[in-house]
Amino acid sequence: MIALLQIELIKTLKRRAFWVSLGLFLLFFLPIMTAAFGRGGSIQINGQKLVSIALPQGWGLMLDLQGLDIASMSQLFLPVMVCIFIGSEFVFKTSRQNIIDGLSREQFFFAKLVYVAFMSLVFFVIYFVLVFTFGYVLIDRSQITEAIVRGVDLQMMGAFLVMLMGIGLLAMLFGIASRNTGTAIGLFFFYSTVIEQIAPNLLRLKESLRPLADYFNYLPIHIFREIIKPGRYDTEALSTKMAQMQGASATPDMTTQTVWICALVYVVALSGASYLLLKKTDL
Amino acid sequence: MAIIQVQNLTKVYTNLLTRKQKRAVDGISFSVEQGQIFGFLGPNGSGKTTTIGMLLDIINRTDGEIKLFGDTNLNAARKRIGATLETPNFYPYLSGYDNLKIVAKIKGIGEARIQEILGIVKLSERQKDAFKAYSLGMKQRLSLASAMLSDPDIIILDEPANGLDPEGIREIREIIKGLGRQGKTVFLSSHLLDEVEQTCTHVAVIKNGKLVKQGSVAELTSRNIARLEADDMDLLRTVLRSYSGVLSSETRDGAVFAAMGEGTLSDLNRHLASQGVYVSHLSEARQSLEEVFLELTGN
Repeated sequence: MIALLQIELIKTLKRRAFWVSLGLFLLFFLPIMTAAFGRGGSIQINGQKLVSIALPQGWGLMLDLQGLDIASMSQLFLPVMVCIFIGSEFVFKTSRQNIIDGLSREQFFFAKLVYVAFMSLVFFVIYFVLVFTFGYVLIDRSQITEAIVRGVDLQMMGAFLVMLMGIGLLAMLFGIASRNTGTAIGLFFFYSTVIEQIAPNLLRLKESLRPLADYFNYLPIHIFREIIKPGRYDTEALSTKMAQMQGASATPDMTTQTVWICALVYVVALSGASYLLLKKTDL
Repeated sequence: MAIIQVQNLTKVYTNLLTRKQKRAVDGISFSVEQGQIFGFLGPNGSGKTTTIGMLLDIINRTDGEIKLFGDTNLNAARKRIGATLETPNFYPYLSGYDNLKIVAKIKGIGEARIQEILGIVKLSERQKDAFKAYSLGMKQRLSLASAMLSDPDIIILDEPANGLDPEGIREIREIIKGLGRQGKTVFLSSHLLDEVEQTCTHVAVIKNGKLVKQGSVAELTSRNIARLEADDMDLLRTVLRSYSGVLSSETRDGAVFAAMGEGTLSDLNRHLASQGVYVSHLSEARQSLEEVFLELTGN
């Protein structure tokens, strides 16, 4: 386990693509957070003034900000990085060399799981550090009555980690199935946009097909988006404020229990599918 | 002791659309004894790499059994094997040293050995350079270093001299011979038959997925062929045709080459003399491995 982690760290930390991607990710959020900081912590979208990123509300706000939040951007950056790293194991033929050198296929698969977990943790740490750094400074100490990390915030953080793992595992599956970085990235975004977003909207145009479209709500990316909706956890304060946002989707359209079960089933199923692909196919 | 045992090994590829099947490897069986330098030969597409891939468990076999060190658990056995398949496969953005560090971690050996092995393959000075900046010869040498890193009992090399200049080929040959002197078992596939003849102790020849010959290099290249010259070449040919101890003959380079049956050169010489043919030259002609290979594969 430790050796596998060390191997994945050598491969990852010494690759320029890793640092460039993280740099771009930070470059996107640092200006937003800095601007919010300059306005006393408030963020405006479409002319609407939203809640402050001050803690503890900042934990939830930065996960659901109409596409400009850390969760949404992680859904772009994380799969790209996973597709690049896992796809290139096949492009460079290092997957077969790792096996030749002595890893079993199970160990190779486990190493990729370790990699996805590591990358998920990297994005989680970025979220935690950014929100904590800016949010802590902005706390109005004369008015604060709550802890800076509440129970609901811990639930949200757990959900965010599951979302990151789930999205990463989906990207891993595309990487292993396509064995090519470009194809894997293309397949992932085709799936996430065309299959999960455009297709159900097209189905809804026709009355008779609407019930069918509802089933699309149970597809993986939709589920992983659902699981991190702050309104599921911070039902009193946060969902009321989030509901003020134009077009905000703070109100859950399926129960939290259902979403969690689906998400965990997807995590297991995606891992299992990747393992079977690795096990059954020639390298 | 047979260190590699292959029984009825078969690989069938099925086209998912047409359901058409292709037998890339068709029920081959062979064994490699400890300490042999074993050449695995065959034309392009004959199934060499597929066979090696199955030995290393990166290609799933359709049928058959493989035993390494007498054990069918290939996962455990692979730790005792050093191998490269086709082109050198490394992370291009990592240095030669870091690539070997990954191999060392997989094999569970200390990093101290990396410097030693880099010295053996003469890459110490370039160890910090990225793999992608290496020349083909350096890549092949790193590949060999990777295979030898854990001081394995078996070294499997697929076309190790591919793309190398004569100097590089000579270096690889010396390294392989050195491994043989240390008592290591080397399993080697190559197109360079002259190299195989100089390096290997035993060979197997595969064609269209089937094994057509296996044996020691000496056995394969010492077929009973006589080279004869005489003043009257026409009479020599006539007498040879009538002699039951000669299976066939051909004339080239001013001499007659006769494929012998059971008899010896002395028997042949006696018969020729009895028929009034006095040869000016009579010797055993050795076939090169290349000639044997071309004959076996029909190329």
